Amino acid sequence: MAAPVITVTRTPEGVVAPGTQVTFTVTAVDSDARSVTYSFTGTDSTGAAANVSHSIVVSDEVTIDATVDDPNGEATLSPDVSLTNVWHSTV
Amino acid sequence: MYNVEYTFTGTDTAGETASVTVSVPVGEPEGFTDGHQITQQNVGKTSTPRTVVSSLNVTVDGSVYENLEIHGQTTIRADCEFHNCDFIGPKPAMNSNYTIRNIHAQSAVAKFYDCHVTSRAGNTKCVTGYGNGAMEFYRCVIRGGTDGLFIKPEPGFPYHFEDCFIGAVMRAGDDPHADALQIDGGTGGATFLRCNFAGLNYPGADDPTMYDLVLEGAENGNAAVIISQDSTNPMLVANVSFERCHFDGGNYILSIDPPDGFDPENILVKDCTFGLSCQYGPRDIGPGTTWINNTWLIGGPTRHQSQDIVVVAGQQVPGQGG
Repeated sequence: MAAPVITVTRTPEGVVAPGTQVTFTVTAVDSDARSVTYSFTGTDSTGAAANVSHSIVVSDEVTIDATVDDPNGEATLSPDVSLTNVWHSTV
Repeated sequence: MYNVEYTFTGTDTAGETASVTVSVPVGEPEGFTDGHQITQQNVGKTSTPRTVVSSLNVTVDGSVYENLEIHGQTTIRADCEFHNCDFIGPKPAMNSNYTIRNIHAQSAVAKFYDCHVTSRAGNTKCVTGYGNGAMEFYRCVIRGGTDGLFIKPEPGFPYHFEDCFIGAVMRAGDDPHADALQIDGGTGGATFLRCNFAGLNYPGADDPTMYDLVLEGAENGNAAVIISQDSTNPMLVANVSFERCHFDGGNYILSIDPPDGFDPENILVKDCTFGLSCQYGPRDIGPGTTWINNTWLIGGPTRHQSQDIVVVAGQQVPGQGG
């Protein structure tokens, strides 16, 4: 039994201007094929809550028979569940 | 500069969790330092496609609208945000059909990011805001008929405009009264940072949404910025600032000393630039205006028909009495 693996990318990258909408693409992979639920928090440097203006799920993609590498060579996990979500936030 | 930390947590049905924290540095925008750098092409709607919808009446606090092309009037009655929206006003219409209407919005705050707002009726205003609701515009294009932007916010409900292009649209047969910005009696606070005001008469196609207006060869409108008073019910205008903005076009480009009513108070014009297109001169200002380091953007003869003058780029535009 393993925890899901979470990866996050954002657009735009680098320093953003106040008021910019930032899009986060969050992907979770659970090798045990369990459903994953997400939570999201944001705070600025003062500890105040960030302005989360919008959140939507644009896709829930289930990938079966994903292939991964391990130290002993290529291994196959079946099934492997991957979920992708997108968050929007205004900084 | 400050950072915003976002933490994403995933939990599977067995209770196993994993988290990732992303830090987003937030700072002043790069690129624009002065209002003359703002054009109709480098601010406003983005390349993200938009969905066409009809007129909106915003009544739910926290409403967020993204990637919309809105045909008709948008009325603001609640806290809301718009991102990458193209507001196209009704046509033809008179004063009852503004493109964006924020009137007595009961303390609501409306924020606009990367939006285009265009009036299709030459005899009406594009964005109209007055009363007890605030507005903020960032990187937006506002093009109006009689006025691009008409404001009269009550004290305590300030408006803020940053990196915006604000222009008057004039077409054949339109009312000759056209200001990029009209500030009406009763205004209690507004700030303009790095905005480009074009009080110019743009001849051209009948529908301003069908072409991008150009500055070359344009005739003057009434003013780039005017403060006006209702002579039968004068009210004080106070606490308005323009910093790093650019102004061009008009009888006076900056006409902020109304003949009627009260002298405006606490008006700041600082580090701004002026274009050459004016009928009577670059500014008509009163004793309540603080005038700091305002210069001609380019040199040459002005379109100063009563007494032509030749100015030098970078030369100070004199303030009151200068």
